Amino acid sequence: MLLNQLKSRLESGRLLPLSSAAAQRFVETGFPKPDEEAWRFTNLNALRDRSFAAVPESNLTAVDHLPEGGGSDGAQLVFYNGVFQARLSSDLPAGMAMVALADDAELAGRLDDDRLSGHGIADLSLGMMTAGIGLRMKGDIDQPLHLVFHNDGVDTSGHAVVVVDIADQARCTLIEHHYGQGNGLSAPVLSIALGQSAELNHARVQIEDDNRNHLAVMVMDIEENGRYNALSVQTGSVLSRAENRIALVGEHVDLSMTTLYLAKNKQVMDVTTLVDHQKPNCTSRQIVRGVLDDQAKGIFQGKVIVARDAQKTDGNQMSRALLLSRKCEADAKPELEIYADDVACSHGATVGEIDDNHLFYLMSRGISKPDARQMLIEAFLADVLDDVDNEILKAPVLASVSLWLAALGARS
Amino acid sequence: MALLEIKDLHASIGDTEILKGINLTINKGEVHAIMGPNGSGKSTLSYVLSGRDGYEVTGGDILLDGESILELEADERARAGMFLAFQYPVELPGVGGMSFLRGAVNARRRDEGLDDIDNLEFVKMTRAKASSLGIKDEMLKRAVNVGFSGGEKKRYEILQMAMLEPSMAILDETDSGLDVDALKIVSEGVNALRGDNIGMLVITHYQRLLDHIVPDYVHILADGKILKSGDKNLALEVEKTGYSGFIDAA
Repeated sequence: MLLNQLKSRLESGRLLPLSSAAAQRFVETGFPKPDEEAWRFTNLNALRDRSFAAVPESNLTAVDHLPEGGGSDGAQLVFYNGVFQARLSSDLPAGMAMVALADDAELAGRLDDDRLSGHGIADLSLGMMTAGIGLRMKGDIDQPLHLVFHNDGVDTSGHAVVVVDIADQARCTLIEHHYGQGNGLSAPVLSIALGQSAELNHARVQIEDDNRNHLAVMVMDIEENGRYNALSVQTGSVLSRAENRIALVGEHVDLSMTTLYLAKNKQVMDVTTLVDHQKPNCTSRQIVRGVLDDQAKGIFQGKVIVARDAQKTDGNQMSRALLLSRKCEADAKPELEIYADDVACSHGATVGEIDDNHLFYLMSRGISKPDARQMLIEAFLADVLDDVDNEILKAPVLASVSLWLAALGARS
Repeated sequence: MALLEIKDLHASIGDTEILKGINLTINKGEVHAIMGPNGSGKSTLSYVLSGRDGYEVTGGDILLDGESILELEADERARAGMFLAFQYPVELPGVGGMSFLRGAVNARRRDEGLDDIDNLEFVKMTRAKASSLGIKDEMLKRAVNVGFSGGEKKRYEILQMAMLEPSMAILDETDSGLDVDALKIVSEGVNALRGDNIGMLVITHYQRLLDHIVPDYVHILADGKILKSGDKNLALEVEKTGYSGFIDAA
């Protein structure tokens, strides 16, 4: 169905050139296959045989408000099955402006990106894009902007495309909420350009219902002295991937990303990141923590590239997965590709169970085994969340983590 | 009735028998010391008493207040009044110190049918007990044992003991890794908790701890058995002759 829709969109001749090129590629190749290295651990075969269809805009119904714990102060832009909903969105604060990508060739042009072209999921979503949204941020903006992606329905697919330009010296906060019901596919594409000495604080919460599929792609360029501070969690969908491809294109960039994934039942959760140090004197810190229960599968693919030019790079990446059952699986592929000779880089990935020594210590103080386990699982996440100072980013992530942990505790 | 009775206790790890028939009775108000060389089974005894997984009791019994605790899990034994001060307290990143202490105190209270402790009362009590052990507020706020020095970890063990008010406390090589000053603080903390309602079992390799925590009885443990029992002077004998003298005589 997606293929048919793409074909008829191509035939209509009304697509942006970029969209039709992407559609053409997807029509030829379809969903990524397991023999592609980038998709070795996350098998999309189940999607290939499904007949998803993007919902025509006229079918859209009202969207309920943010899930509990999701909202805080700030403006919100709402997308329903990938399509922007003007009447459900609020006015933007001073410094933020929104445009339709069709009306802004410069922002639309950002989607002509090597990291997106030929990426199976990005091709699909750019081909299916109905009305991409562009955002321009200027100045010091205190109010966070919530991007609310509500996805709903049986066999539906949503392909939100958002391009964000953050001007030099600007500072802003973006909070993505992905939630919804049904068994559809959400495949949002986000492209961000962070200007010189600009700062982006970015939270991302993916809590879609357990039968949905979520395949997100984000690309970002960060210029000189740019600061990027990100915190994300995924607990939703039967199949979920959050892929970030970030290029540090100026010197003295500071990047810090904390990524959590929490999976149970037969959920498959994939965290894939590429941090590409192109210039000297940049710092990147990536922390990934996953908790897996039942027969869940967690995947971490983290690659750090340090170009020949990028001397004095400080790049760290550490992934830890906690397995709560003997039937779950964690795959980790940390990669360092270093072409410069004066760098300090580290990476690592560990997979482990709850430590018996820790459990015994708590139990020896009278705390029951289930309570002690729960405390240690919470601690595994709190250990990294405690280091996050930004309360605006932390609040929605903590709310989702707490819900997940409470559900876990209620089962034992 | 005795507080703790260990009767002909045999315990193994895998196929290896470590404890080979231990008999020991501790009454309330008494402090017993177990001394022994490395590999004598001292730490195994403390773990078997406190109910750690991985040790199999192959014979004998352990009675606390007259009832066998062999079938009880570690947490149930703790709530029944058993306390183990660890030789190597583990670091628990992400477990906040105060919520850990509160969780432990409340687990015990719930077992006794009491309401959870009032939060203000809890904070007040913790601070008071901590300050008498030279534990600063800042340390209480950190994750359990994370970034603590060796001496701080041992003081924190004694703080937990003070908070949980056990009837039977086992101190497993509490002196290891402590310098003289830290040893003094920890010992004073332990001595302050001595009394008619508590029995203590002090496990140590060296006599020096027993200068600070003076025991009523001393037992020499070697190769999984108690070779000799006596009063505090037995510890001084060990200091003079070493363990070999006792082992050779046996």
